[in-house]
Amino acid sequence: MKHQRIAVGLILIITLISILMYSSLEINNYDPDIKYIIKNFEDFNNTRISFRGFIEKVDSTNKTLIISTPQITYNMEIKIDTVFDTIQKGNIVEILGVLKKNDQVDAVKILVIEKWKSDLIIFRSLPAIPFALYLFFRKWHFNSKNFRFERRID
Amino acid sequence: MPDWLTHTLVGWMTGKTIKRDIGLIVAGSLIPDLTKINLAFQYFNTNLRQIFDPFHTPAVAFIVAGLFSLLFRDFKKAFIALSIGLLTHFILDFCLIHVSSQIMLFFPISWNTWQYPLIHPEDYNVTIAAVIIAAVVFLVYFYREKRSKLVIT
Repeated sequence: MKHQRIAVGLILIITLISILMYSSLEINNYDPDIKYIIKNFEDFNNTRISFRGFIEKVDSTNKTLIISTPQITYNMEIKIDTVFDTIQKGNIVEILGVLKKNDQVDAVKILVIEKWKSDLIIFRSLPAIPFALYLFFRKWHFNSKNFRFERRID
Repeated sequence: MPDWLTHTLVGWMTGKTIKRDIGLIVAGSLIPDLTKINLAFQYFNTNLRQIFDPFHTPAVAFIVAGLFSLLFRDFKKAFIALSIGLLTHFILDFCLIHVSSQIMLFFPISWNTWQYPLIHPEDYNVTIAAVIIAAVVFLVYFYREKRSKLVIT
């Protein structure tokens, strides 16, 4: 039984490492981030791209947004035909659009998330950590001698 | 993603309802968000999404659950409970609205992404609803257990 467990564990670890290596090698071909897209602009010109960033500047008259992305300090000009009232500096945006120049995207879809609402996700997540740990360790404890979780005796 | 509180509460309610190991289901419901470890690296201007993004796919999440379940005596039971938690996580995340879909359901076979856009990721009403429903579930089970104890005595 112990050998079976070790064998299963080894197979799972090898499979996991293989998948992570495959992801590392192929991610730029299938799911490139904005840093890679900008560096290889010619390959992505006039294609649909999606990325996430922070609004740096809102120009309502020209209907453009200046976006900076966390992956790269870069200002991207976004042309979009939408209502600008709700869009403010500091908001987080998800953009789906067509890359026109290496610093310009014609947006097809835009999703705006207010900064405080985004921060609230983190604050709402914090109580989950002690809650999950309590629920788990109320029933289980780790026995370091046989390296296994064992059910607590009520 | 909906926040972790929603994920853990949905996991807790699922465990309570189907009478499986709640602790393991809740742990399972958080496994796909191991991908968020990358946020810590991003804070130091290092992006390791090529390593951490796959954790938010069913295939890799099930492998992690499989590895974790090996630390339990009855690893089959542990794996089933962790898998139920995983499923609740993916069902919730599948319903999130993004400009382009987010979940690579069949990775590593396919890189295609899928979603059923229903909930805005930042919508706190979902968390409020989860808290209220969890409170109702808690009260129902609390009174049911109290009543069954009274009958026995």
